Amino acid sequence: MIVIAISSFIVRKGLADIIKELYPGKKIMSIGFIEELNFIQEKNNISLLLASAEILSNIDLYLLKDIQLIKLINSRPDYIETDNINSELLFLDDTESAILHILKRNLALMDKNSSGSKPESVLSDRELDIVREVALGNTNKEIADKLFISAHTVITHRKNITRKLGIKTVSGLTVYALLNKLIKMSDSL
Amino acid sequence: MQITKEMKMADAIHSNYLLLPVINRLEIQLGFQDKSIEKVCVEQNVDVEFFLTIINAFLGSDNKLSKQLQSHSVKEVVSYLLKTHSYYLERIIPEIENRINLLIQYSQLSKEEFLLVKNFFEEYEKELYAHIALEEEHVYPYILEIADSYHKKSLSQALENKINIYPITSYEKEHSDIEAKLFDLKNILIKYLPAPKDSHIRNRVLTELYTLEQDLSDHARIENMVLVPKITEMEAALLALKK
Repeated sequence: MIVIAISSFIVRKGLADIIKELYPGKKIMSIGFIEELNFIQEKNNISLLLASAEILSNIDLYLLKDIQLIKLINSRPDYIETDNINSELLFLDDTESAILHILKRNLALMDKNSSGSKPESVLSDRELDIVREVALGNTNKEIADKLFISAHTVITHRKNITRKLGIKTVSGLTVYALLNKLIKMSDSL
Repeated sequence: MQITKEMKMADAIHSNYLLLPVINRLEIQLGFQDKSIEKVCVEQNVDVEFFLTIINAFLGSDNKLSKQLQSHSVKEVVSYLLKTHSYYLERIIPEIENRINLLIQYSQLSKEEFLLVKNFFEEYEKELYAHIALEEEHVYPYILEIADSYHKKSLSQALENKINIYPITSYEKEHSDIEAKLFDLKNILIKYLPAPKDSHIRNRVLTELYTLEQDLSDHARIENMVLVPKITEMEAALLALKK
């Protein structure tokens, strides 16, 4: 599914129409608020996310780590600040050909990813950290303090881990961590 | 598919072999030839309506379940649930345990990997036991007491206190952790243990786990959809006596 997240209705609608033309048949979801994104993220696989900088600033970017992302920026600035997320920038005031070029390239890339080798279930490095801490018996609060993130973020990570691994309980995660040598047998005692 | 009393007992089982332990619990034994469900029940002295309700509940198709079971006595339902408990404790759990013990022989598991699975299952077992003990020692006796009192249309002070402090809904406590552990164990066996030399034993363990899972969910459904609403109603009626 392709998700377009930006507060401007006109931009949402415009992007959705362009993408529909370029890539007919793919499911597109347009949303205006961050809350809706949280909702969708739990329910569906997002193969491509186009989101305004404003919406992105409200999301823990780590959660989007595995999602192909296009950051929507109102106008091309003189200086482009880079972030460590693997995102593409799309300037809404760019020329038609520049915008189409970026969209086409990303849609092609999305196809490659979805048919490709990277299974959705692979845990990110951060998620592996969390699994390790959970397996060692730490609470969400302790993990949050140790990794310098909020408890809320820990909970979101844990939801994603459960979804990816199909393991719900702490003891199940401990077995997973031991089998995958994330922790040693002596640690778990 | 809705099972009816005109159907042959054998056909009901052909429709879903997981009914086998269910009909045993209802005191029906195999060897019934080509007789209809009604005939077999009459011969083996089993209430045919109750039999059909439980069987159809197990097959899970209908949501009229609670309505149908309203006509049966609470005692019958509880006695059925008790039998499912002994089926878990005496049959299924020991069988799974045996098969898990075979994993070390027939899989290429290291000692540590084997122990991880074994300990995980033992932990699961403990939780299941605790859950069953709670039901048998507290929940079911309470349910029977309520039903009894309801039929006598009298409410003792002691029971009134119980209703006020621990009504049936306070026990409605999740089977969820038990379910979650079972779910995890399946995924560990399917996805995360190293590949076995011979999959057969692991497949057998998994088959047993799936069977147990379905049986437990049926058990929980009968409790939550039948007993809890029915007892809640009786509690209210009993408390109303005092007003």
